[in-house]
Amino acid sequence: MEVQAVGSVGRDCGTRLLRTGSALERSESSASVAVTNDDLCNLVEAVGATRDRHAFVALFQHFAPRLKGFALRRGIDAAAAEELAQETLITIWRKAASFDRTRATVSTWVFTIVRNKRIDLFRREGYPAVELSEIADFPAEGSNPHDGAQMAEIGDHLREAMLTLPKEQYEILTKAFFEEKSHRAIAAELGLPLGTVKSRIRLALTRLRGALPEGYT
Amino acid sequence: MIVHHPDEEILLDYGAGSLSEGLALVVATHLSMCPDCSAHVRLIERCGGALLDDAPEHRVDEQALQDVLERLDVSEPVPPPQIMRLDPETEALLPAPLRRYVTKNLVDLDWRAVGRLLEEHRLSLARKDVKAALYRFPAASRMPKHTHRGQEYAIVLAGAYRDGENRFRRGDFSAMDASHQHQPTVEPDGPCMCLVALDAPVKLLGLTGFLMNPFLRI
Repeated sequence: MEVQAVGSVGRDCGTRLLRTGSALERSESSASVAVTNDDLCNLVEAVGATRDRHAFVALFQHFAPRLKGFALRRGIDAAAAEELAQETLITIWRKAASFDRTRATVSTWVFTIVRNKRIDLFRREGYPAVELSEIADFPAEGSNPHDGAQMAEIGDHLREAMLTLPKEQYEILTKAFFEEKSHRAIAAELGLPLGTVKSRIRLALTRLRGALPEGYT
Repeated sequence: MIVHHPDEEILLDYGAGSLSEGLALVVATHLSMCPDCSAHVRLIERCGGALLDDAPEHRVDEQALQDVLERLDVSEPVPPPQIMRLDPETEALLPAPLRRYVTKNLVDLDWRAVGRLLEEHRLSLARKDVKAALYRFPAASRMPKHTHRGQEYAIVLAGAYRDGENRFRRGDFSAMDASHQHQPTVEPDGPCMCLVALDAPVKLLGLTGFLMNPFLRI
């Protein structure tokens, strides 16, 4: 499947190493090309509409390595990370028809899928989540229905904003995601007052929210 | 109107997937009633998506793809999850996330009397060391004075209670931990129903607490 290489901020190896801060987390991206959210939406919709296996394989090739890397960063062991990536892709296959490109980027959708999976050696537990279809009275995001291109732009703005956060804000935000640490635990680890941790997270989120168009979150 | 919301730390934990099932259920129940908190969580989820986009790529075995393709053959597409349809009173009272755990009409639920005053309907979670339950308290009753070893999240579904200066009504959320001691009192105008999740046993205070230990039974 042909995918267009699209230049985008922060994709080069150097920035990635800077952000991950570890020489060991070297991306094997020399062979991979950047795919756009539009490409990913098309793939998911192809799977949803016609059970397109080629499209699924492309999604696998894009997401499985990232899901595994994401899980490993969360401290999950390699075997469980592998299983989590596979289970997530199977769920993508099963739920593809319900993906709505006007609601979220594919990456956000996939993130919520992997977040809702709780797989470890001893038990599987659900993660209570709210399906958008269950919320009757919520106003639609933004004043107009938005399309995949706008959503892609929103996704890109957010990623750009994340990559340009001050280092100390980015560090704390990623600790919350990857290390499941409470604000208190982060403060203890970094030797900072709790108030400083709280304010850095708040500043980071305010900045990220500011990168989104009016009326969107 | 909802006045008491989960703080930003709790919303971040929820959005990032760090909460245990019981605590997450209380937050999800609040979110289904609160557009502002939901919007905040959507931002967190977008952050998660961005972090996933830029996650280091770890090589995945060729065999893994084959395994998954084989499993696809037995994975039929699923429609969006259907929430059990319940009677109007039950559906009005119990928001959607909770209706995955409460699968009968309210009138058909079995309630366990706890002490003289309150009734409990325990929800079934995957882990046994975390507890979530519906509680019914009569009007004007005082909940047992207690503090908490771990975290306690609660949301009001019906009626109201007072805790110190604050009044909690439908949709209002509270989070308590070991630094809080409290003795909430139900308002006199009617009974109160709450969803409460605990991740460690509540520690009852005083002689009354010692004699009556509903929350300790995990």
